[in-house]
Amino acid sequence: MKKLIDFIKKHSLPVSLIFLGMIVLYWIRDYRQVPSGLSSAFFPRLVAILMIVLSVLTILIHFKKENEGEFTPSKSANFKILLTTVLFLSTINLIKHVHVVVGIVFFLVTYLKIIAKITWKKTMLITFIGTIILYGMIFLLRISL
Amino acid sequence: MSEYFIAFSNINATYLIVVVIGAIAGYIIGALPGFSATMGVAIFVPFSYNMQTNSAFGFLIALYCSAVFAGSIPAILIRTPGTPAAICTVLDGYPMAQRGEAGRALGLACWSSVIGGVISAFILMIAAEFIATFALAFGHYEYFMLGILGLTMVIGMSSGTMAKGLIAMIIGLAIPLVGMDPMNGYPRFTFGSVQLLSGLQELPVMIGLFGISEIFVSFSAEDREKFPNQKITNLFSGIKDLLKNKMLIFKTAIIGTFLGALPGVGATTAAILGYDQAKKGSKHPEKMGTGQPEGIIGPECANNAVTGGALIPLLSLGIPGDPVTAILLGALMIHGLQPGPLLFVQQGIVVKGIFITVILSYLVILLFSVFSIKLLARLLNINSNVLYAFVLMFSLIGSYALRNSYTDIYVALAFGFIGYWMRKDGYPLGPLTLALVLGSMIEQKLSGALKLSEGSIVPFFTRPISLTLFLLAVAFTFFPVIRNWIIYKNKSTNGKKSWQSEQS
Repeated sequence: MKKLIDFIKKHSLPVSLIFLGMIVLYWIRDYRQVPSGLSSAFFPRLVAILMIVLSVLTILIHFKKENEGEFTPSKSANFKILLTTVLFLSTINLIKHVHVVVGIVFFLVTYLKIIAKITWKKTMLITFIGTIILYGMIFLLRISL
Repeated sequence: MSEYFIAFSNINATYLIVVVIGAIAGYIIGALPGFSATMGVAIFVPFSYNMQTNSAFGFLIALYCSAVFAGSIPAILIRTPGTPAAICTVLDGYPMAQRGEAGRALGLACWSSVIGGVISAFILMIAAEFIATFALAFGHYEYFMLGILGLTMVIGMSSGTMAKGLIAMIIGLAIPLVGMDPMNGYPRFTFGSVQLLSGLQELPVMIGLFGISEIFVSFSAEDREKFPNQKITNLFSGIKDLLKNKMLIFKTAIIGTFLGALPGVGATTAAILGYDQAKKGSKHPEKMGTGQPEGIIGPECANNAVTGGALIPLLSLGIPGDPVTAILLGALMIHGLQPGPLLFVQQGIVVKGIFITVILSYLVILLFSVFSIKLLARLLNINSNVLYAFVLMFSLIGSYALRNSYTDIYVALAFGFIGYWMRKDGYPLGPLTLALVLGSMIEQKLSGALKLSEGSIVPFFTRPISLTLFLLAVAFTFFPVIRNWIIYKNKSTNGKKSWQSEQS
């Protein structure tokens, strides 16, 4: 079981693509056929088959090799990513239901204090300047948030 | 010629201000390690939607050109390239700065970048027009084969193994499948959502892949060195070195422009080849890596020449040369411009305006560098996390601005995760970006071609241009395999010879 989990971790992307390819092939079996030219299912079918074949090929090529990733994420990096995502989603909801300025202020204060870990004085100053810049851009470029 | 005069006369104060702002934004983005020209263009494209067409492209192209140059600033001052294209500038730029000649090194980087960029702009003017005239004869068959050729070139040149490049390409081809089928109007993978009927928009996907994922990746990076309080003086002291290396400048500018025109090659490869040329042509190759001026001139000239080169296939064929031009393709279409040979016929003034913008951007970079490079060097001491906060906010606002849709923000975030996952496991993003842009074109052209030929694939191989493009695609697909085989054969032959000489 541990070997299987390690295998899936090492080849997470190709394994996911194999499952995705199989799901796509099943999903599109009822897609509309047309009398001439390509049907709506042709390209998705082709891409799904290529996805499965290339993923299997990649797993075979990299079976015994060490993971050649760009970097290895640390626990603190994963925590920052999770926190940033929660902040991002919260900000979207604040902008949607309250006001864009409230969302921007909330995001900047929380990010700068918790993730950037800078002092309250600097946080307030950067938030003030940042909110003016961001809101100014939204206003000048006529983006309706 | 008259179109050039009209385009030139369209330059007004607003346009110039916007070009300067773009150059400053590009400077800041390029000078900070962890940010890239692609990220900068992806995040700022949405802010150009409500600008006039020539101002929008003035802003974006100035941003692109200055970001590529500005990567050399931290490379020289703190031994960390600001963008991947400055990787070779570290080798001689940092040692030169260490012996107190930071001003000379920065001046050389600036002048070389500007000269390389301007030469590539002139080649762009001639080559793009020529290729566009030739491409007027292209039909569905030729465009399909061109798309396939573009994909095979990207895979062949991508970093990492070919298998991983192919996986990235397939993911890129899958993304445009969401939404209405372009030929039959049938909804695919929309899950009943009205928002997904128009598909996953390219720009939020790019913002996620190059903006948000970059921030996630940066959380795992080490803190960069601070810029020491070093005096930067005499930015003009390198001019004598430039005059001594005229041939190198010319050669590397041509190499950079040519490589920029090939999809998937990019500024990093151009910089490496530029450095190689500098070493080969140097009077003292053994001193390269110790602070030689040609070690800065070669890569900087080449990497900035890529900017003009990458615009050649974009404007003349509608095929982007690198991820930045893939994003610019989206920007062109948002402004109602369809890149390709007809753009030269229908919107010739806009095209000439883009050519002039490239040259103008480099002149702005030159003026700006001379007066404020010392101030910009201080930027290296800004806390990266503060800038990440702004990048995330720009990403959020930029993703929303395209269609005033919150779905696009969620798409950007999702692709932020996908980009992070791919980079963590060593999958390149270049093939994905180009496949994303080329995917729907390939499907449309294939479908149109098969309708014309009533389902027969014979015309793909009997039309001369289509056949030529197909043979080139095959050659590029097998090029890495053949190259690796030749390297392997050479190694085993040399190994055998040295073993034999040891035995005797």
